[in-house]
Amino acid sequence: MSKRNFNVVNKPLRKIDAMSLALGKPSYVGDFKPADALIIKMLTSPHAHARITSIDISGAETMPGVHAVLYYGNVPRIAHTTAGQGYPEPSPYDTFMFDSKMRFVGDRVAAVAAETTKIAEAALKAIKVEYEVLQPVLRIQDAMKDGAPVIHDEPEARAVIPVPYEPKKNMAAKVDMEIGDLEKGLAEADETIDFQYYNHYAQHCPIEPHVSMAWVDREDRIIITTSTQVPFHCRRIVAQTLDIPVRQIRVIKPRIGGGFGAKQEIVLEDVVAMMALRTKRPVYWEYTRAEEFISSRTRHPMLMRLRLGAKKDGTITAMGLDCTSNTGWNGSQGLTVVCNSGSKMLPLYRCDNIHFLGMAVYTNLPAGGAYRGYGATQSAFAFESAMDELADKIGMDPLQFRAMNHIKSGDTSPVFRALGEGREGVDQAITSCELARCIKAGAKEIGWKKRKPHTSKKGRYRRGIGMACLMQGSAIPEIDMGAATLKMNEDGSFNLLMGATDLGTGSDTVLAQITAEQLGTTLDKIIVYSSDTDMTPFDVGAYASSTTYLSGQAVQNVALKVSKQILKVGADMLDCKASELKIKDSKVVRKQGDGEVTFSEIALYSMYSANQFQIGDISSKIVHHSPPPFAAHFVEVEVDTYTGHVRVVKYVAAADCGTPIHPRLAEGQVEGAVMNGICYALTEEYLFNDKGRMLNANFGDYKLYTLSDLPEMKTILVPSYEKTGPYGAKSVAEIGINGPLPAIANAIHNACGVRLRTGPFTAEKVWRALQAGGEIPFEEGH
Amino acid sequence: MNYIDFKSPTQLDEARTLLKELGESAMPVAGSTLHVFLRDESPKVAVDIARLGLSGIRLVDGIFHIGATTTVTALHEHDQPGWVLDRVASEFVTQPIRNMATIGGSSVRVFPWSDLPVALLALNAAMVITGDEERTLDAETFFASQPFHHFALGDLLTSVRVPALTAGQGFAYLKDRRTSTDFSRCTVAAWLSLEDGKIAGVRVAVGAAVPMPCRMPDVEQALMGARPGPKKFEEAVQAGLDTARWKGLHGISDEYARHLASILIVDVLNRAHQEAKGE
Ligand SMILES: Cc1cc2nc3c(=O)[nH]c(=O)nc-3n(C[C@H](O)[C@H](O)[C@H](O)COP(=O)(O)OP(=O)(O)OC[C@H]3O[C@@H](n4cnc5c(N)ncnc54)[C@H](O)[C@@H]3O)c2cc1C
Repeated sequence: MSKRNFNVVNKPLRKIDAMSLALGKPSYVGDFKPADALIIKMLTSPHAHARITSIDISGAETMPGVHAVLYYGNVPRIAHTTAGQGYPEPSPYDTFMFDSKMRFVGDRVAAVAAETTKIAEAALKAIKVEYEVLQPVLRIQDAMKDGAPVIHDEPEARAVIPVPYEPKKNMAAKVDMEIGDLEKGLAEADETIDFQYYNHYAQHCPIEPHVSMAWVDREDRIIITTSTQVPFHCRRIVAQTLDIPVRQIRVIKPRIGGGFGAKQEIVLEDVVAMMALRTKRPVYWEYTRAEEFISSRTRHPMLMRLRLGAKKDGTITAMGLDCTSNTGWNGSQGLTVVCNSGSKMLPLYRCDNIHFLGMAVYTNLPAGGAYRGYGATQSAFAFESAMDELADKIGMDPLQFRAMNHIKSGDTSPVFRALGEGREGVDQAITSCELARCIKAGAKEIGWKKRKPHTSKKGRYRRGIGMACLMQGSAIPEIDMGAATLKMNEDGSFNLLMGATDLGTGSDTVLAQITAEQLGTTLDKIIVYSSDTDMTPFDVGAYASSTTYLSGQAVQNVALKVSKQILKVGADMLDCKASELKIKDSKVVRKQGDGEVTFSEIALYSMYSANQFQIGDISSKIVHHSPPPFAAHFVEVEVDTYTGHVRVVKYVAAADCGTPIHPRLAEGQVEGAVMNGICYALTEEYLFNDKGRMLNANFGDYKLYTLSDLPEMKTILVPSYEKTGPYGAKSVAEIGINGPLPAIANAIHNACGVRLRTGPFTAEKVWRALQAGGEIPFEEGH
Repeated sequence: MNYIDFKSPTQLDEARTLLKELGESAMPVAGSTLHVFLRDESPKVAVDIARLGLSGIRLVDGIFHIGATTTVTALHEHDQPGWVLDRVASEFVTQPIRNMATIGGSSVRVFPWSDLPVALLALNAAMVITGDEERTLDAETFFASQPFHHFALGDLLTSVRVPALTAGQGFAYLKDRRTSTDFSRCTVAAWLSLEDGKIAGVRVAVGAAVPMPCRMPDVEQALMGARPGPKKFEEAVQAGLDTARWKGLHGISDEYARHLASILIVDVLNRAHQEAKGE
């Protein structure tokens, strides 16, 4: 429950950038492209696994209009990770700006910077390359076989934190954890299940693809303007890759046209920085949609085995989850994604015997990366499908089964400590959990009571209802840090300078709301600037559902410090003690009696009149908890049993995100995530040929839902009050994407008895399962 | 596409003369949406045929005369007894593309996803080509291969003629796609006429799941003179399905494409039958 009446927080105010975006004012990287920018284009590998035996760039280099050609022979060879994560990164150093070994169709061969796109493309054609083609590895199971071709055989490949890393076995990451005794738990169970599940490839599909530009200023510093979620990590990793000091680089992040995790990677910036240095001209590189699909990042496909045991009374006695992800050609975020598959789902249900094995393996396919849901999407599919299957076996209603087992306020889980992000986690008790109310509200809205078993359904079109329970986190405890600077201006307005990055989520508005609430002023008085590594303080960036919870605390802290300074100056002006004053409506007023000064008068006084100083401060925040948001999702589907086509009739998402700082934006996050999840469940898939080339890298063939596909959708925010969060807030951005895959799988089963354990649930797959009496043999997909 | 010039004639003769003079370097352009899919980089002069007065829909003696540059939106918005192409137009991808694409452009160059050719086959449309002389091809001849093969230099499709639906007749159209903006994976259309409760005429056409849109002669044959009904339709479809070569698109297997067609054809026949019965 909300604990306070707020003035600015918890209100659906107009987004601070709404008008400028609606009017199409220059906002995005592409809007700032200098007229004289050179265009970068990349020649990529046609082979999934190969070695360059010879390369001749002379034809391109001498072409009129071409200013530079980069390839492995003329750039530094520095092993690094492209993952925009905290330092030292939990992802292995297995990537080079350019290499002579090709590890996927789409790998970098050589980059050209030229006066026009046409010249750049012609120059790519003039580069002569010969390859020794190697056997590609295109499936997880093949990568793990003895004697499988080694994808990272270079000596430099290494892990930089103490974690298992065996590139000779194509193993990019491994984590193993046991609490209690899984085998004992399984033996104690009245019923057990043991199934395999597979999550398929998907891309984030931001409307704005990856895009970066760079130029060198008169001090020889490289100014990179880029669409990134992680400007500070970007600066650090580009400096490392180019072997230049951090101080020589400035990274500016303008507005971002969507990221969803894809832009938590250094995908273009190393090359634009290097090209700017080489050419001394502004350079610009924007991915095509095909490049975005192939050479950017994806959701890690994951092969999972889940063993569960329960007693007839519904007590869960054992949970064993094995997850092996396909991290593709590099190990970016491989360890942490798979850790999250365990840490974000295993604590959801109480159990004494838990085993988790997580691995990430290299293949010669596109690389996985951070993607909304971050490993939890994968394991939620397995877990929440299995919960239905186990409930069925013990003869219990799946809703009741979940309701009696899920974690509640005051509970803790040993998993929190055992599994962190690439290292041990942090003990925590749940201080806010309204999952029970989410389940209740969602069940009512979908009409759970009218749900009937599939065996009672007849006819061509059959409807079914399914559900899933979910949890995520809010920032990475003891690792993530955010900071903010706040300073006051003469008119009583404030500059809020943050490293936190709004990637289209509205976090600039949310953080300005928290600041205004704490200062006792209005939203229009907060001027937000984010992010610029020269101007704004450090923030890890937008990932791990951290911005509202973590950066929100940083802005709240700095606003608190500044409001104390304001009271002090007010006391000076009103000739009383600060303790006799309070802030109200952008004024400092006496608690008792007459006397008030406006924020503007205070600013003018402190700047020009007496005891002059700049009212302002900086504050950093590192969090010690990662309070999970919770959600219960419900869906009704209709299956055409003749064709196998699945139609979502209605989707209900009930979410506990603590206090929604901006309720409408929070709802938008849930709805966007759910839509994202629905098309992941039903239509999105990567099609590859047997040589590892993606066949559908465009929006015509790779199908996303648009608004015209929107089913009836109901979002129910069930507020709790998270006392460690700013004004009771937790996160909301990621959790919503985890529900559709399992909820729809369960609804399909409830409709027609078909149980699908590999996504996406295409009509053909459902039809084949119907033909086969409900199941098709399990197969690792793509 | 690499356009080097743009010509905008206002008379049909003027356009044809231009096209003849410019030869291979010219290209008639109606809605111009095809260019999204063309990879042709050779220099071309665009000859805009949208201003020749070739658009509009008129009913003449029970036959709709549809000007070749009539947009799909206009097909969608037209409302007159016996008019059925609005049902097809409403399924034609998105509104912005409907606003531009024309019935002519959608007929002259056929893609697997093309909606109108399938419907025009089922409706037994007549395709009017204006060359040095005007000639009319029936839809089956016109769509037997890529229709632009029927065109000599300077020839234009000027009109499409579609019989209005009358009492005792029914028409239905369906396509299978993953999302509302998706390309079709199987498109089907059926026209059916009843006399004394029996099928006196029937045309079934399929697209997308086959290399070129085509009629299903064996299915039609099996239905002629028969008493219509779901069972009969199923039998006829099963008997006649193998005259077509089924091809799975967008990740579906050939086998599933065939299966999908078998279901959708029965569905359109049922719908057309309902309409023919006046239901
Ligand atoms: C993203 C997208 C999705 C689409 N999806 C679908 C879909 O689902 N279903 C569907 O049916 N269509 C779809 N289309 C439209 C289809 O692919 C064609 O682009 C369209 O039908 C062409 O019509 P147009 O009037 O734009 O023709 P244009 O592009 O102007 O011309 C097409 C061709 O026909 C020639 N031509 C045009 N008119 C004449 C004429 N009168 N006489 C002689 N030659 C002529 C031109 O020279 C050219 O070669 C889609 C288009 C796009 C861009």
